[in-house]
Amino acid sequence: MSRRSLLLFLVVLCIGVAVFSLVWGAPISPLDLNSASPEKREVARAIFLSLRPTRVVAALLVGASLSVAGAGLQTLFRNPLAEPYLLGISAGGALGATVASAFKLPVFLGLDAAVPLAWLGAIASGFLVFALGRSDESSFDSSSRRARLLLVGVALSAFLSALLALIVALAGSADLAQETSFWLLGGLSRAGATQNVVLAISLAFGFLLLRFNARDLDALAAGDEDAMALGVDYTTLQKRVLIAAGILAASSVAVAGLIGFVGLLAPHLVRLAGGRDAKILLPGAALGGAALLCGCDTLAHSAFAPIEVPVGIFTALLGVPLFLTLARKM
Amino acid sequence: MLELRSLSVQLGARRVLQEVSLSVAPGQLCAVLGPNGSGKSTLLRSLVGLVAPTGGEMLWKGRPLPADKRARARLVSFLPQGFGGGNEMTVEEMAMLGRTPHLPPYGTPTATDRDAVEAAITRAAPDLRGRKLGQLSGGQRQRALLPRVLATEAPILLLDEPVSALDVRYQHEILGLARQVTREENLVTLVSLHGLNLAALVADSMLLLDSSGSVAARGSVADVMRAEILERVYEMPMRVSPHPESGIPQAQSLWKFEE
Repeated sequence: MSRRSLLLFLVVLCIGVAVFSLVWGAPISPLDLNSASPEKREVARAIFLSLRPTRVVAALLVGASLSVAGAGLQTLFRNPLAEPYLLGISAGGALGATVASAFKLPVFLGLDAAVPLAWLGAIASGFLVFALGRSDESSFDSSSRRARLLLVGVALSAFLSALLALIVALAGSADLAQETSFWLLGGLSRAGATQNVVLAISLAFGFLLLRFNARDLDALAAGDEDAMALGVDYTTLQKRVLIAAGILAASSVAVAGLIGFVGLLAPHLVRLAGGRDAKILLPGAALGGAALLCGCDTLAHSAFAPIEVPVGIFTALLGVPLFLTLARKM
Repeated sequence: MLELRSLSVQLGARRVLQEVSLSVAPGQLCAVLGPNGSGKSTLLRSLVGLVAPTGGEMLWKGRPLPADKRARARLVSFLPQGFGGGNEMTVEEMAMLGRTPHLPPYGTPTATDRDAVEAAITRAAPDLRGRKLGQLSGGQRQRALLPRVLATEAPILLLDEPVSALDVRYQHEILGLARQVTREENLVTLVSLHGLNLAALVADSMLLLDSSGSVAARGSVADVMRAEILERVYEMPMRVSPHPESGIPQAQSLWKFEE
């Protein structure tokens, strides 16, 4: 598939999934927007012009954010298994958001303090996992290097989750405990218009930060040292990727909790379809991730209706088999 | 002219290079030789800016090499030892990475970049067009990496042990290509090598480092390929005799193996 047709296909897929998600499984038909009955019109309006679009937009934005973060991390670490959830970056974001709630930090500029603190937590964990997971310069064994990074991520995730649980236990607040269990499962039921604006801004920031470093990201494919010999300022690039991935992952976590494997699945599929360089991989991952999460979310709230299943369950059901396949090849 | 004046490098507590001086003129291939750990790679890595020297100067046309990473990369192109990555890339994609120092940050290549890549592949690996690096044999892969360093169109070319894992035929092929491109493009080329005899056949000049990272000998092939120098540096008995065809000095081991 040519690069242009790959992106075109993903745009069409994204629109298709979004339209499907708007309509599928609704108690009434969108045709009722023009219904003769004012009550039906009112209900149709609430569902199709407010509730559903908000949720669909949130799913698209969170999916795109997680997937772009994954694409950036995979390129930086030269590891197809790198992903904000698996590396503990999402857990860092969740911890930051929990701290904000537990200490009842004030609302700032109309924004919940949870969002900036989630950014801080996620960026800090990104730098930590980078510092701990990076092996000696002399190590040429790429498979042990990749395994080490993931082990560090797993350990960091466990540690941060334990800290989070400790804060929740000590705070002794039922509300906080409930909020936390929501974060840990991951779901889009709490998305609102304000959150979508925050998500859109952070997606634009993260995407553009990575996109404007496409040249250097591509050079990393030749090897870290080769890239540095080609004039890539590795330290600066590393900071930019970790900041972009941290903000993308943390905004998603603050709105939708811990949703794993989207950042693994979508970039992998785009790469399989031939989009390996950042110019295609980043927009492709954004579109693919958006379509994927939106589709999974629709499945999550309609497959077992009236029970709504957390969307993270579906992404894990799809993502874990791929993870295992990739891990066996490593 | 590329000139090193009393270049010293210290990595941690270890002095890796001590007061190394060297000059190489355009169109000349200089072989950098020495035992394992003598600082051959460190010398090349200092030139490309991957290692910061602790003393001395590195001059190109009488002026210090630029500190800016991208400006340095446009001047010095470097093929590190071993294979960094890129198994899934085609020869063309890998060669395009050689244009990295010329591209804008968002990375879209121009016609100039594509022409440089095309010329580099035509010169070094025309038969490998469209192949993925992961599908190639070790020797082919090493040759497939050459277009990348050539596509940069840098006047200084550094190859770090480019033939150490290759069979004897590929060793000649790769170094022959390096020599040819050095002549035709008037490059300053430094190649670190372990094989003394092949180095003698292909190089215009030699730099021999000893295990303390100091210059043991420097100059023409005849100046460096002398038994008393080689015996001292490699700490083993050797003899040097002229090549039967070309008369170029060749070293033979006089090592006594236990019966």
